[in-house]
Order: sequence, then structure tokens, then C-alpha cells
Amino acid sequence: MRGAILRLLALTITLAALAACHRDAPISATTFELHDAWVRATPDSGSTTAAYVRFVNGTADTIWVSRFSSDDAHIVELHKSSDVAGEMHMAMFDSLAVAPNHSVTMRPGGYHLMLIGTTHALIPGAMVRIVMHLSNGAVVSTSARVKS
Amino acid sequence: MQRFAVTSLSRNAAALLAASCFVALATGCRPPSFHGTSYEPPEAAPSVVLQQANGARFSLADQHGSVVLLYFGYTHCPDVCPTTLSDWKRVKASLGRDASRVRFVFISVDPDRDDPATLQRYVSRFDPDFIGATSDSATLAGIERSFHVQSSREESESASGYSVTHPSQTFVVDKQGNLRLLYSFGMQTSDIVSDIRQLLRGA
Repeated sequence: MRGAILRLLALTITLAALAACHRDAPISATTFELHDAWVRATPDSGSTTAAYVRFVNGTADTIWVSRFSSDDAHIVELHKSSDVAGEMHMAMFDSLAVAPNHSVTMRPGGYHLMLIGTTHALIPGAMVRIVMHLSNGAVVSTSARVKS
Repeated sequence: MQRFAVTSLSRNAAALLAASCFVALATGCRPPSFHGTSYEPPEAAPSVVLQQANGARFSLADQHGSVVLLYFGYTHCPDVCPTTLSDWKRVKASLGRDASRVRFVFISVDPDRDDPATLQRYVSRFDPDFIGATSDSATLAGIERSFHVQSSREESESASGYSVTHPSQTFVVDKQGNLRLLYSFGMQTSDIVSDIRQLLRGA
């Protein structure tokens, strides 16, 4: 009986370890951080493009990120693309929640920032500053590299 | 005695199997193995006749001899459409000279905002050889129906206006004009290149 319990315990630990492998990489940060930001190039002013950011929440509280802006676009909105049974949908959101000790990575086909009305051409290699508000009252920014 | 007979039979069967495999491999009779989802059996691609920016007509039926990649999207799509076109740009670069036998066709399903000139300017940002083509709503709806997909306009509070729900897949038509493969969004470009090379070889 004791052996069965030990085997069950070992199996549980193994499954827990395997499950952990599929979660975000361990968060080493102790603060809220922005990483790996990039924006897709556009050769025209007045056009619409997308930016992507990785949000890392090393704090003990859920952080809501909202009110995005940039000097390089008239409006910045939060959107999410979703592939539902072969149909690509897009929805707009007010804010993005990042759970304590977790990260959220924006990527094509998922969450993204829509830069509407670019004020100039965004050429590969240039940097675009994106500002956002956090639910803890902080205002943070990141520099997104323009990529083709 | 019986045991010997079975062993003998197995050896003969194994030898026959090995010979068959050798012949199949040597003659290239292996069924093609693709990374994309295959149409089994391949089916004749539907008729697709659209307008291009220079007033020229694009007809899928005229593309025999080329492999054609087709995507239904729209220019106000900031995320998945430019990602797909950017992936195509990498695919084209990897294909090198073979790219001259491949057509990359982006079909706008947002005719209210995408006239042929706007559309061609958009796709040419990625590569001047990419084809942007569209038509009126009724024709586009008919073409999509023939591919068993659909698009729909979704009202939104976004400053960019309404969005368009559109098919997420890329359709691949072979040199003979048959629908052969489907790629879901985000397919590895190296896998697409590998599949196209097979189709160009006549797989």
C-alpha cells in the first residue's frame, strides 16, 4: 500500500514537472518589465501596422496594462487575432492582464498593438517608443525595433 | 518442418518487400509527403477571375505550369496579413530561381476599402512580384464559396474602422491547376519551401 502511494506521489511530481515545462519561462524579474518589443515596418505615413511586446510581471499582483500611445502613430490600440476553425477574427480590448510571476508574449496571430495612422514611414532598424499605463499607477515605455 | 516453411516464407516475403521498396524508391513512386494539409485526392481548383491594379485580369486558369499560393485578406489587417506576406517574402527568397515558377496571390475580400491600386501598393511593399487582386463583393463571395470559406465584415469601435473576418489558411494550387495543399497561419517558411519544391518537381 505504501509502495502504491509512493508510486502515485512520484507520478504526480513527474506530471507536475512536465506541466511546468509548458508554462512560461521562470520569471527572474521582481518588477514589471517590457522586453523584445518590435514593430512591423511600413513605408508610408498614415498607415496601420502592428507592434509586439513581451510583458513580464515579477510582482505579487496582477497588473493590467492599458492606454497605449506612441509619438509615431496617432492612435495605438490593443487587439487580439484568433484563428477559430479556419476563420481569422480580430477583437479590440481595453487592457491586458498579466498574472503575478507570469509573462505574456504578444505575437502575430495573437495579441498585438495596432498603430493607426503612422506619422511617418517606419523603416527597418528604426526605433518606435510605445508608452502604456499600468494598473499600479505607473507609466512605462519601451522602444520597439522596426523590422520588415 | 513446418517451422522451416514459415521461416522460408517470411524470408521470401521480406525479400519481395525490400525489392518492392527499392523499385518504388528508385522510380520515385513514393507518395509525396507534404508539411501542409493535403487534398486527397487533389481536386481541380475553382475558377478565380479577378482584377489587378493595372486593369489586367488575373485568372487562376492561366497559371498552369506555375505553383500558386492564394490568400484571402485585406489591407487594413495589421497583424496576420502582413505576417503572411512577410513569410511569403522569405519563401520567395529561399526558392531562388524556382520562385519564377511560383505565383503569390493576395486576394482582398474588402472591396469597399481596397481598390486594385491600393491593394497592389500594399502587396508590393513586400515584393513587387506579389499579385494583389480583387473584385466586387458578389464575385468574391462566390469565389470564397467555391473554396468552402467565407469572409464577413465585423463592426468595431477601433479607430481603424471595421475589421474583416477572413480565412486563415493559404491555399496551394499545383502546376496542373489542382488544389493540393492548405497551410494554417504560422506555418514554418522552410516547410512551405520544401513543399513548393516538391510540387515544382511534379509531385
